[in-house]
Amino acid sequence: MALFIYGTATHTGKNFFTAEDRRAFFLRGYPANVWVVGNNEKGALWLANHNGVEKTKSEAQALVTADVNAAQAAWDALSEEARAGTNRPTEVTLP
Amino acid sequence: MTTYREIFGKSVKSIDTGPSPATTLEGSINYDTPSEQFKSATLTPGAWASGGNLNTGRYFINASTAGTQNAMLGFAGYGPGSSIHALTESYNGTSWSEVADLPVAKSRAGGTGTQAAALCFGGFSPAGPNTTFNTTEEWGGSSWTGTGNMNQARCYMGGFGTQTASVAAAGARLNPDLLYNVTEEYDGSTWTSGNAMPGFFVQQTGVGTLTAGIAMAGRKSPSSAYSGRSNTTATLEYDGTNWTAANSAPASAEGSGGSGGGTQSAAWMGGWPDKAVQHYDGTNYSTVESTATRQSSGGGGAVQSAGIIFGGIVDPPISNATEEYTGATITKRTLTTS
Repeated sequence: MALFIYGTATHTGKNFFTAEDRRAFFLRGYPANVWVVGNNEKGALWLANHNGVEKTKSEAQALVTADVNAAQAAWDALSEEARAGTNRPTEVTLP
Repeated sequence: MTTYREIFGKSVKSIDTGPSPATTLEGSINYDTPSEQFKSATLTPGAWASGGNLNTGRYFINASTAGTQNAMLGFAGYGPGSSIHALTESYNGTSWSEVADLPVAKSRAGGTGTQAAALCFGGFSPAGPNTTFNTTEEWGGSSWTGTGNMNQARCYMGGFGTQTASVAAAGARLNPDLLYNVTEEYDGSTWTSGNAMPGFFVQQTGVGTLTAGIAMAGRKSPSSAYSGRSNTTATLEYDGTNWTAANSAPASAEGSGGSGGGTQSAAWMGGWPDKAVQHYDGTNYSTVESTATRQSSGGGGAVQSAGIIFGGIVDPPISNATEEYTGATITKRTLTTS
């Protein structure tokens, strides 16, 4: 059985995920509103209860990569002055 | 009759105060002297939960680091693109509200104090002409007022303290780039020079008070050359006069320059380089529960057991998210024969 469930869900702010959620299952957020949750009943319910759309890992990775690529392009377009002290956004690999 | 010691190889420990998370093992059995009862200890781990989203996501945002999870101020900041912000937002534990702007848009400033009495000092704006600021602004609860300038214009400082007693440690000038090792102390109206730091640091996490402060991790260079900086795990404690090296942060926190809060003997920092969060007890570090999203160069503060982190960059590219920490707790349950 896969360790994780992949999906997209809009972060709605307070109580989008609670301390109780964090103790009950793995939960990590990534670019493009991609969320990786533990593959158990509570993780699946959390995604469903937040109007999440389940994705395959490769679909989720593609969304993340597209978002990072856009951020990299935006950074590349900045002037040298505007880049001062900042780093080019790095690739993100989902677990 | 078989005894507890014969079964488990240890006798039951007698205690006269409630067990603390730091010293009590989950499931341990103790004899509670005041109540003359046997108790078991159940540990509920700490966890980061989502808070209200900032109205404007940005990074290099500053915080009233001595504020609380339910009373925090976030100000200044950078991005997306090259946008620079004078915005100030106030958090009540549920939602952020926009309040009066800073007199000037800046980022990478120092931030200390509380929601009702915050201090913003130094900073940088890439908007032409490039400016590294020496200006200081005091938040009086409803607006910002300019006050005494720092002697050395800087950004990326390690800052800690209150509105009337703050420290600005090291930092840099950008465009052209130069690192500093200077320390300045603020008394509510004037900045004065203190003893230099033992190195040229930027992006440290500053925590504590003017007479009991700490500057953690960030980046360090052996000289004032900005290009010479590299990630560090160094920890330096300040007593109001001198800097003293303390135990280093773990290698996994090398370069951490995100957010932090607490005191010299109960500090936390997180946000970079990963989602990991470190606690410092005045001597040693321990890695605790991670945030759900990576929020490097975000704002943050409040005490170790109830910290708050907001804004930042990388995961996602520009974040407006807030996370709030609930520290570990111990629940004692009375054991009965039934």
